[in-house]
Amino acid sequence: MKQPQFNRTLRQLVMLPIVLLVLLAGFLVWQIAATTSAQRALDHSDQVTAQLQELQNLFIDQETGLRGFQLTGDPVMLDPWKAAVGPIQAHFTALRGMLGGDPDQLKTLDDLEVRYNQWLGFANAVLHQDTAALNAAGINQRGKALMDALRSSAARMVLHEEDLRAVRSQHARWLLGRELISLMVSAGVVGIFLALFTRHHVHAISQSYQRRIDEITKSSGELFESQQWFKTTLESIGDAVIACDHRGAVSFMNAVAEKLTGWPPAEARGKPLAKVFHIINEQTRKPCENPVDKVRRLKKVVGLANHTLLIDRAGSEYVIDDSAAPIMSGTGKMIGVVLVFRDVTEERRVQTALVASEKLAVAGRLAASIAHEIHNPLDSVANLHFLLAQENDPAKREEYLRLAQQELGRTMQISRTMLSLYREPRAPIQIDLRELIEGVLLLLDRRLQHQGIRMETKIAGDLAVEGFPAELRQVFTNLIVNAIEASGAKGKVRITMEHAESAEMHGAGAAIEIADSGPGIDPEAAKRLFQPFFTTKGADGTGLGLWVSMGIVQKHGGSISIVERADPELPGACIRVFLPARTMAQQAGVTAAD
Amino acid sequence: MPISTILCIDDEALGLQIRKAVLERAGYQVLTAVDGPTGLSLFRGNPIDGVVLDYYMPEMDGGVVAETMRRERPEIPIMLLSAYINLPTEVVELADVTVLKGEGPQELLDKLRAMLFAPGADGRPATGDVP
Repeated sequence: MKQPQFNRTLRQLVMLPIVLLVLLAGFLVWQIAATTSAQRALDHSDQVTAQLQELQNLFIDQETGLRGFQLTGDPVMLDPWKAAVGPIQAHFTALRGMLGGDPDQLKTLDDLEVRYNQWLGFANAVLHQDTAALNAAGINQRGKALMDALRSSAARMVLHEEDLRAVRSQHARWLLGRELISLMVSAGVVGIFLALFTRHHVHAISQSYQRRIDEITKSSGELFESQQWFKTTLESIGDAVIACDHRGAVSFMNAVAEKLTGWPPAEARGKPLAKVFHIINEQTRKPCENPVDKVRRLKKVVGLANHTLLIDRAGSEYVIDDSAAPIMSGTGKMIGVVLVFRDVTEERRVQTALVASEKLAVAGRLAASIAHEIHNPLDSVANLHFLLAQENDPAKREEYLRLAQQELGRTMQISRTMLSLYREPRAPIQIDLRELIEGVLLLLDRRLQHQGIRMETKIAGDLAVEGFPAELRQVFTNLIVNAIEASGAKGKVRITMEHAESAEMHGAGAAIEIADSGPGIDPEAAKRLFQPFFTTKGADGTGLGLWVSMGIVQKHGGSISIVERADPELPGACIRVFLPARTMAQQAGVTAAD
Repeated sequence: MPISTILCIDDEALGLQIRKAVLERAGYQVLTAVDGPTGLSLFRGNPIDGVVLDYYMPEMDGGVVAETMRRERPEIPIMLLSAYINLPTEVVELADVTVLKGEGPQELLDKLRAMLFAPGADGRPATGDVP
């Protein structure tokens, strides 16, 4: 049952009985009014009868007074006669008013009045006669006849009124009976109707209530199940999970989090996160910003800064990688923060080892090329020495010595270049990028010639960046060698370097693009290009070159990416490297792409 | 003993001239070429007794040159001279002798003589059949 329907039912349950009871009361009032009216008619009959009775008594008083005067001739005897005159008239008037609605009784009343007046005429005549004649036999006979007629009329009226009263009394009794039956029937009907109506509605409400209870029981069961489901999932995953309430107090942590922080969940619950999850910067060893505060400030998912160390309760340190996310309620209010992190100490060690192994591979390749570069002039020097030993002609000896000196000079130049390659400063220094890239090209010159590569350089002068030259040389050697290998024999490589304005994500610096005429990189491979162990060179590549290059560029605060350049002469890959003029790199050393 | 003619191919012009002087002093007649194609045309147009071939050269490397020579005149012995240690096996197998640059002129001359006058050489590879 929906809320509006429920409200309607409740309204009906209250309003219907009120309306029915009002109707019932109205009906009863009507019934009572009818009975009362019948009772009034009955009273009216009684009053008419009483008036008639009094009128008859007054007639008797007058007759008695007249008779007394006849007998005694004493005028005092006439006092009752005189006293009755006024009231008789008043009674006639009153009766005329009362019998307005009954023409039969009015006619009889008129008749009565006529007869009274006849009698009164007779009485007046008697009063004015001589005293002697007062008791004449004839007079008394006539008076008696008149009075009898008068009495007969009055008796007729009384009889008529009594008949009327009997009818009215019967009607009143019938009305009273009807009233009682109506009361009982209507009360019974209304009662039964209300009982049925209320029962139906209360039943509906009760059923709906029961259904709601069933639903709530079911959904709370499901809720419990899903809670168990999520809890077990969180408990079982390999990453550490800590959930906090909106104030940043720990509300849940899984087994991995317990292992890494050293805090049992029961003890950690309710404690501020910073106490349980103690993190510092790996290099500065200063406390890091509490991730919960950061999420509460930014209201979005945040990742931890690189080089974060977690210190557990016992003081052991773990390199961790983590992220924190806000937990939002349905109304968009932040109700908590969840923190997911994992121990990457081992991963970091492996990365370091990989970077070192790539460095060794680079050194190995470099050593082979050094050997080749040095062996050529050394071979010539050995040959010249052989010739010198057998030559006596001073001019020829002079020529051989000059050549030997020239070849030795070449050998020393090569060895100097190699040395500078591995002499790395401790702190970043100003590097002339043009000089650095030209140095790399010089080292690769033989290879370029061997493959007949056309190398085109468009390098803006005087572009300097801060950084570590040997590392950047490794990056550009990697990128240029890749371009040469992709281009194949008689290919073309173009290196462009220009000033890059400061933008939203970085400050001003240098942008270097290396484009080749090779087959290009297919989109699938492009996605994985900067991942370790990904190579398109089969057994010849370690798959670490670009990964290490990206790490170095990122350490310098720069970026490296594949870009699209529609140049028909250079349809292959184009790699863009951005290096900021002011580096963020703090110290020399291996860094992998995180 | 007639004077042997040696074809020397190397992209290092200076080193090539010095090597030529060494070989001439040892009594050989020497033809030189600074790249593979030039070397091959000399190889085709001249009576050659042996080839001293550099491996690492632009455009056409020693492997391709040696393969072409073997196909055209398999009897001419080839010495592969290189500063590389890790030469491809199939290229090493094409040559009669492999000499590392920097081993010194005496070694070069000894090995060249051995290659040219080895039993069964004379017009055939040293590894060929021995009567």
